Amino acid sequence: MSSVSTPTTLKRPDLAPPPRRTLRSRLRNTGQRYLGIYLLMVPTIVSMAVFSYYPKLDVFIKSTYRWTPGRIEEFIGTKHFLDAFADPLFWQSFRVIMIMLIANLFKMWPAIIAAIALHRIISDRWRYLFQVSFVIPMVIPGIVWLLVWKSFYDPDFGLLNRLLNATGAMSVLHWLDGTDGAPGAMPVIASALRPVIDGGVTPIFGGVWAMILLGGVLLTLMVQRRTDPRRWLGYVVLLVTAWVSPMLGVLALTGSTGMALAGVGLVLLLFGLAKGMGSGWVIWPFLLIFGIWACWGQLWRLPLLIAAGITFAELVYAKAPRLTAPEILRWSGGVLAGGGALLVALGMIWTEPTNQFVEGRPAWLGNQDLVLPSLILWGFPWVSTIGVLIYLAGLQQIGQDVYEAAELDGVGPIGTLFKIELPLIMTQVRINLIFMTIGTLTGFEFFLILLGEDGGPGNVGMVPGLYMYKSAFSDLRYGYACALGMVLFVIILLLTIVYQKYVKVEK
Amino acid sequence: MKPRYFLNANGIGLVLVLGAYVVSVLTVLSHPSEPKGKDDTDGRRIVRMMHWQLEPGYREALQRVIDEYNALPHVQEANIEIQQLDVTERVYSQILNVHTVSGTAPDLCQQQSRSKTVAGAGIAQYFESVGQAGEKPNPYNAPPYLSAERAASLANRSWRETFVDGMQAGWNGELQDYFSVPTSSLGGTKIYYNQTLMAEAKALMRRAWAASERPAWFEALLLKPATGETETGYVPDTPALGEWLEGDSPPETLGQMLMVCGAIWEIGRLRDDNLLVPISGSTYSDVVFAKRYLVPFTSQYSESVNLNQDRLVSGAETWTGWKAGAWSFDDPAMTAYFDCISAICRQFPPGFLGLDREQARRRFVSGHAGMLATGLFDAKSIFDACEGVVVGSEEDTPTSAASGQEVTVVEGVERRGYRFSVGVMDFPIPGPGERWSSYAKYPASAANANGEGRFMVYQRSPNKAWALDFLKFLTSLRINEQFNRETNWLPIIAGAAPAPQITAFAPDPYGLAPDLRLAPDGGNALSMRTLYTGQFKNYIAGDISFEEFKQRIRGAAEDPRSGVDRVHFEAWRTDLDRIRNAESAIAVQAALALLQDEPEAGEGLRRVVRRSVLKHNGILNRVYWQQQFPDEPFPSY
Repeated sequence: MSSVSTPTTLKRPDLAPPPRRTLRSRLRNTGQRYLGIYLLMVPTIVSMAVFSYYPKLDVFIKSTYRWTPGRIEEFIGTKHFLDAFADPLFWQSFRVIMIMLIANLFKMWPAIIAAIALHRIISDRWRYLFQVSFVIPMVIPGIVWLLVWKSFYDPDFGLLNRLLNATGAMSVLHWLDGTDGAPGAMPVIASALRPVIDGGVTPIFGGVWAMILLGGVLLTLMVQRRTDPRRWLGYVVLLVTAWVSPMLGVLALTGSTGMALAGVGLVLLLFGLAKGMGSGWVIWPFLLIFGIWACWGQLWRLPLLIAAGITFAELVYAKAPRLTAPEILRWSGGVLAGGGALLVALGMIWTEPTNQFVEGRPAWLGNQDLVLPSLILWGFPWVSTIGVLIYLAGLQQIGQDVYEAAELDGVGPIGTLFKIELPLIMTQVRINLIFMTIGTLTGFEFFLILLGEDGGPGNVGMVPGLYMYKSAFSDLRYGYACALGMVLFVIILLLTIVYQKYVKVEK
Repeated sequence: MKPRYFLNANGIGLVLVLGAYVVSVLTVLSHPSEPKGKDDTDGRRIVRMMHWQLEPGYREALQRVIDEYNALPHVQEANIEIQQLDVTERVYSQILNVHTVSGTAPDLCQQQSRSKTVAGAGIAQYFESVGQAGEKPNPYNAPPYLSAERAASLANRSWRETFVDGMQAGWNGELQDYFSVPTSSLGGTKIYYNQTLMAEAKALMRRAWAASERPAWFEALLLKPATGETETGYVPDTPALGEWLEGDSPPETLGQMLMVCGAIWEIGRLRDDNLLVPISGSTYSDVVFAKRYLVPFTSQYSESVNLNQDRLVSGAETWTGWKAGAWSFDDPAMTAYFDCISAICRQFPPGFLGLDREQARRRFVSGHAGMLATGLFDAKSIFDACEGVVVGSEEDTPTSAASGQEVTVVEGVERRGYRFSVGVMDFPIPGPGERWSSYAKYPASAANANGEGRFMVYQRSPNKAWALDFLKFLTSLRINEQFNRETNWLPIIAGAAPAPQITAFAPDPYGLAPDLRLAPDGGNALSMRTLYTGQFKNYIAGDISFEEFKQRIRGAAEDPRSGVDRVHFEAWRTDLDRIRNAESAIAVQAALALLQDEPEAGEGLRRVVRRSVLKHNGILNRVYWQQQFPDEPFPSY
């Protein structure tokens, strides 16, 4: 038996369709809700537009003018950029700033370690006292700090030489340096490494820097491991860019049209690179710039080196087990880059005695060989207050449970540093890295005060910021200074993108 | 019920922020763009005078002049008050630039060559011409401000004629008019020396010279005949040397000066004092010596290199001459010049390139150096620090009396804080038969040492007449003499006597001019000037050889985009800019002549037109290039 139930007809409730809201009423509602908030932002936005963005835009516009305020204003297109690219001093200034940037990467560590040490102090009162002691130096004006350090470097009356002589460190430096007649340990090591560089590295790679480049390519391919077929397009574009970009450089120097064409070509290539290499593409322009510099004079080597790197990486991924392949790339890249860096450090920098330590009175700021070491040494022990406070803020966000879990897993104090604390404050490291990079690339006061506007003997302390300052305020080439500023802006922007991409907390 | 919109927190915040913003904007907008020139409190008219002379004694001396002026009956009656604004030299040009352009500059501003905004023809945009005022006598050079006797020669002369330099320091070549009034003269740069150490060095050399077996250090200072390419030593072993060693006089020749340097090194060794150096050099002194000796060595080239045959050789002319082969670094005179500068810089302390002017001064006054090259502006501080103050004098304040400094009797005068006596000498040139004497026979002339402390009257000042009146007061004979004696500077007014200890700074017109300008001028030189300066410093510090130096400079000069060709091209473009500025000035002067019927505007117009015509629209630069390099087209970038 089946019972057929009469289906109950559900009556649609007699609801009238919601009234259609007119655009005006929606705007009114939204406006009532948010207008106040938006209006609150207006003064800030207007101020930013007028005082922050407009001047920057004006810098871009003025970079296309021959401009001395109140006197000359003549549109010259891209000529300042052509001058900048052909200016030997501008490129030399980048060499200096790259050295400073690398040195500053190492100089970040003391602040991190100091912050971790502070964070680990158990007593709140003591921690607070130490925190305060870190903040107190901030009240000393920067200029005073600079002048104090300048007096430290005085060869005869300065503290540094006295300290080195009193502690015996000067004898060690003299032993390392020696004299023209009796070279010290470093020049001897450099001369011993010369056959390795000339007879081994140069014939194979084209030079030590090219060897480091290959290491960098392998490490980048290891980090960016991609399996989708689009990577082949990326490789092709990369090789084409490596082949063509020097030619684009030459084309750019032929004139404004050439520069425009080169610019368009470069943008297209970068676009292709971005499509082919994925989100991590931004490191490649830097590797290419470094490669052009490393292979200068033998530019045909650049695409070959990159091709060799790609081939090796693809072969490793194809043949080696999945978990082993990245390790092979990591080690081979590390050996090439690290070995190259070691060869540079030991075999290519301190190649001849400076003869500065023999009398125990090295002229730190007055000798072209010692200027850069002095600038790097400046501010020792490099524990910057702001840096410590930023890292400390990050460390204080790490929960106690994380530490407890680590303790249960048997992680020791050193392990905690590298496995817990450092990875979890990567956001703060990135912030400091960005600040440090911007400060290093644009800073000039430090160099101006210590070395003068020509950058000291042999212009060894000439950095882009100082060159920009000198062009504007000493040579009155404000337009040219604006163009230099634009070049710096692009470089800083790209570096910031690299940091955003690669320096972060692993989720 | 929902609170009404304007009563919630957002609304209150909005009102506060907008209110503050509107008040700020209104405050900025309502700020007067024209200087009022009046003190709001009592209606007194304030005339402000801005300068950057922070050397000891300058402000005090100026204040005394200001006080005296403010107390004059007619100044009191007009309710005028002069005030000085002292600004540090480092930021002076920026402050001057910003305030002149924004219309808020003080009534009187000191002219600084570094401030390019008010340089060249641009000065007429912001500052008054003083050419016409200079034609009339200075009322403060007549009784009752000056005794009838002293006024006799000045009272009826034009203000300009009362200046030692004819007010030349205020002359603007581009505008063919006077725009500033000098108040002092700094003379040339000189060498200060420690008299005690100098005497000790000479005594040591006397003993060495008379010894039967002369010590090696002394032998090394005597000029030896050239063996191969290099000469050693400085002064030939002649009876004249013995005569000089027997006397008390300071070095009269470059060779003798370098011998004294050798002796001071030896004194340092004997005392085991490795801080003692002959010359307290710094990154400032090397430039001083390099400039002073460039004239004697390179003046011979000026005729062939000075393309427009004016009074100086520009950087562009120097390097165009180099390209045309008029001179080269391999010329014996050039080689001798660089050898000479290198020899002088070897007498500096090690690492002198890392030392600044202040560090060098400190070393000298502390007795660790025999000599110091600097200008008159350092005279007061050096004399005070080395010779102390006369007991009972105005400067012997209770503070210095209470400081416990020892009192020493020097030549019958009691001095507190005396360390040693300071002498002043000129830069000596090589004597007959000395090293480099074939290339440098005459010193550099100081004939072009114009006035300093130049003040300009701001065009938008409401107190122009009073500002000018004060300048007349400051440059009247009595006041200028009093003012400069207190500052230890040289007076600028004819007949005014300087302080006795600085008479040696009086410019000596005897000698040669002009020289080559090896470090080409700033804006015209792109990176070449910087590269030259950097490598020059490397060379004089002994970090690179002369061969390396030449090679690097040659590389920079031959650079197609930033080398010699570019320097010449930029010089041409600068000429064009100047012509444009002159044409703007012509338009202004023409309008003034037409509208205001001012006789001086007509005269000004004629002068500027003449100047503009002489420049031939910059064509001369192209003609010079064509003459020098007929087969090469004029460079273009």
